[in-house]
Amino acid sequence: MLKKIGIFLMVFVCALFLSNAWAEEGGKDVHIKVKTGVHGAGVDAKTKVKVGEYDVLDVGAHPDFSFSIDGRIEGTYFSGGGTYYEDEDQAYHANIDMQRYVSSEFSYHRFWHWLDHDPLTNLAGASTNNGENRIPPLVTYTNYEPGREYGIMRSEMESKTTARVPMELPFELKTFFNYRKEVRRGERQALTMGGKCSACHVVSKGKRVNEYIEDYNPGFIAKYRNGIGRFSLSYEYLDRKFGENSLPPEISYDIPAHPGTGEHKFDSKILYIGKHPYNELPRSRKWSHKAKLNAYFPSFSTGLFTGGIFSRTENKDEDLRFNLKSIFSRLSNSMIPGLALNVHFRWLDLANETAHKQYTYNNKYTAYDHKEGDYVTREYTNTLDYTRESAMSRDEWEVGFDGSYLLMRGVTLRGSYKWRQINRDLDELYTQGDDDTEEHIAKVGINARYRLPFNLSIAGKPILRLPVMARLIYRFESIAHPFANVNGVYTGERTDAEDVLYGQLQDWRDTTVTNQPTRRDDIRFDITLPIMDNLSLTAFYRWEKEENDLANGWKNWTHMPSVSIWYAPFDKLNFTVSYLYRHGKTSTLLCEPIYNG
Amino acid sequence: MSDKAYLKAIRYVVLVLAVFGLSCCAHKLISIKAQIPTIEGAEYVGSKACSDCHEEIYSAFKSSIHGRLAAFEVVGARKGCEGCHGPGSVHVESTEPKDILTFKSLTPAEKSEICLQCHDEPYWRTSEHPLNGNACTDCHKVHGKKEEKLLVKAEPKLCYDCHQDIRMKTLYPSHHPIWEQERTGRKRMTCSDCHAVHGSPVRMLKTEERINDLCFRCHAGYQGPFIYEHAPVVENCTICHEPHGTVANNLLKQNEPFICLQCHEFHFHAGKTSPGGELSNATHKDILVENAGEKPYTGPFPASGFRIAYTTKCTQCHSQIHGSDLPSLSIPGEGKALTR
Repeated sequence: MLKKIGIFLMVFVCALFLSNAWAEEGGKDVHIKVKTGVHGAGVDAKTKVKVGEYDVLDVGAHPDFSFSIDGRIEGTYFSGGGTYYEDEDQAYHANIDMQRYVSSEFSYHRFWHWLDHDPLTNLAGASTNNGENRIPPLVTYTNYEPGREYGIMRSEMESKTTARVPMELPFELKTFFNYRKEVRRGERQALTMGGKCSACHVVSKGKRVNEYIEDYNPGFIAKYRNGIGRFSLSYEYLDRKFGENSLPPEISYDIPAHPGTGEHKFDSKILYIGKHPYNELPRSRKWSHKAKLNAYFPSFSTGLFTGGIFSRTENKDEDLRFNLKSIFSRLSNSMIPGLALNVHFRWLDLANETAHKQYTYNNKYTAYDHKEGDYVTREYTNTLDYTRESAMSRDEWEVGFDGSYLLMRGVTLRGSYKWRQINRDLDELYTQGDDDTEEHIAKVGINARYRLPFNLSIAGKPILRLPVMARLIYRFESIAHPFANVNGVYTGERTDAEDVLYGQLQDWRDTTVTNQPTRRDDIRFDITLPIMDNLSLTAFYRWEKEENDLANGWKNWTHMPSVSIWYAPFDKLNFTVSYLYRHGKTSTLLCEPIYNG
Repeated sequence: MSDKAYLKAIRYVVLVLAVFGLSCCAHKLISIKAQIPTIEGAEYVGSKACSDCHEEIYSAFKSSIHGRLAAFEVVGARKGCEGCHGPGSVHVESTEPKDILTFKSLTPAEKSEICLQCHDEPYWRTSEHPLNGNACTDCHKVHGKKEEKLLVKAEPKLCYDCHQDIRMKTLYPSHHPIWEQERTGRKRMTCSDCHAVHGSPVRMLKTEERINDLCFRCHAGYQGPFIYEHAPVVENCTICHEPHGTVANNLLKQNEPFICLQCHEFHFHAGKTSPGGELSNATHKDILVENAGEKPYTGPFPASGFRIAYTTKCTQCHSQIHGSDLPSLSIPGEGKALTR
């Protein structure tokens, strides 16, 4: 506490002296503002509820202060400010503009985020009682750190610097360099499953987190104007690195033991034993090149824009990568008074490399042998070849148009249509109906700003003086062959399966399931009544229905009415009271297989 | 790229261009109308002339970002008051507001067109905000600085003036820290951290790639590519997550296991009670028969089975649901069970 007060007093005194010193010098204009305060919390992290998820919550009174500075020294303008609230809750920013040759923005902030600690006790709730004894659940768990609070400090530092060419060129040219670093430090819960089959064992430990994301983003923008039109060309490069400086947690993976007796009685069928890391995020890097060309011809009220992007994302630990290529283009026109029309086109190609992995396993185990009618010890060495073909690889095409038409002053009619096709490399695994996903999306809407043609007043005070605003939008989507888990579940009955393995039974799955609709209807309506200058009422309603008849009657609908009242008795005091009711229902096929394996 | 998709795309391009062209023809292109109105006979007189009458506005303006612009960054355009309000000579003479471009008298499209002379926003004309009748000045206050980026109100409150349904979602138990920024004013997260409010090729989002690439800006640890992947994760984060806020934890659209069970079946053991004590020779089917009291294929699912099944969260075992390079333990699962 004393340290905080000390820092605060130092900053305050420095600000005071600087303010006086600058104010005394001519040709300079500097303003400094310092605010102080005290805040307190009555609950600490241990009793935190969701409402305090992003607050430090340290019981007691704590000083806080903020400051801001802005001014000019000759042709250089600067501004800055900061807020110190808690050690883990601070924000600072600074801007400098050096006669427009170079301008730079800097910002830093950090805050605390409490993370969940799943006690896993629901797994114990799965135990049963046979009338005499409590029967342990099939899935057991060990929480090595019960009661421990997990959380991370998330910080982000950003700097944006722009340099302009200070010459009277026939075009404008500016270059920029942006840098961003995001850091997460703290501890989070890390789960893994340390067994299989009847000895399923979930293990929970804390995992040290020290992640960073670092972006370097240089580029340039060139603009040219003449009597015909305005043109701009931009290019930017992005280099993003992700890394984790902490070591992942480790646990010992053992041969499964019977949850009741602890004996090794099962066919282990495991790939490895011993101490291994888990919950590890690989180092990765992404780089991209992005170029855009924009042209606008005022005489024809027509704009043409086209751009392209090429990016590569690499998993640095496993030498895996995927490429993304995309071209997008837009044509806009508003030659006809009151009518705006746009056409757009987009193509995207994603190519994720196939991954191969080979594991050699050597197991010695004791398992019950149904044929022998007794427990038998076996030893074997084998290899597992795994090939992952990615669900990501595909190409997408999108074409659409939209427009708005001014029906009368204040009333606009708008509509749009979009067609999109996704051609996945693995249609047969991830597309309902084993064909390209095809979407047709249509939207119509009307916006109105209506002002009463006469004056109304209550007790001498004018009401509904400002325009009433209303909006109604209907959106319809028809999606053929949406993303799905092809043969995700088994429906039906088979009785020819005695003593087969679970993995073999998975091949029987014969029904495609998904939570993606083949049809979506969405209606939104809102109206704002500005009853008085300092009082307004807003009503909102949204109804959404999604359904997929092919996926065994999957349906999802929501309706959501809401009402809000805003009242501002004084300039710097306003109240908002809102009520929202949301009712949603999802119907889906639920499959519980019963295997004799 | 298949030939079929290519031909279809060409067909749709031709179709929409035809609709575009026909719409234009239908309105008989009699006159070509420039977006920004002009004041007849007016000439540029410089900002100094404006300051004679509008001193307060001018003094705030000259130290603002617009007032500080240098000539080399508006090549071919005009800076100062007349950069936006048009030539002022007639207004200086008459002092009539009708003799100069006043934003109050302009349509939203005309207002925005003035800003677009210098601000290169290629998606603006085709984005949701102007199509809904919004102008730049609905959100930005040009004279003097009120909030960051010259906003009339700080985010996210500004956005909530129209997007009340989204505000409600940010109040759900699971949410990004947008409500915390609204409540405390301290920097957490705002709408424009994800949304490109001036338009974008991808749903008004700050990406020109996929929705996932936007999420990876902060959640880069999940961008992989992983050896063991989960198909919906690489397809689209929003298949499982609703980023504005949800009742279910972790911004999931539904609680576990229901979110998972829309695309997967239960494990065979999910509704099976433990045999307890010494393992007998009974098979799973036998145990189910015993629990259910009748044939498992047609009989009722035991009450204990439902309790086991519905109180299990899939990610307690499959904790690496976003993908992993580390193989899971089981051989039949080929290491791809995302448990490690």
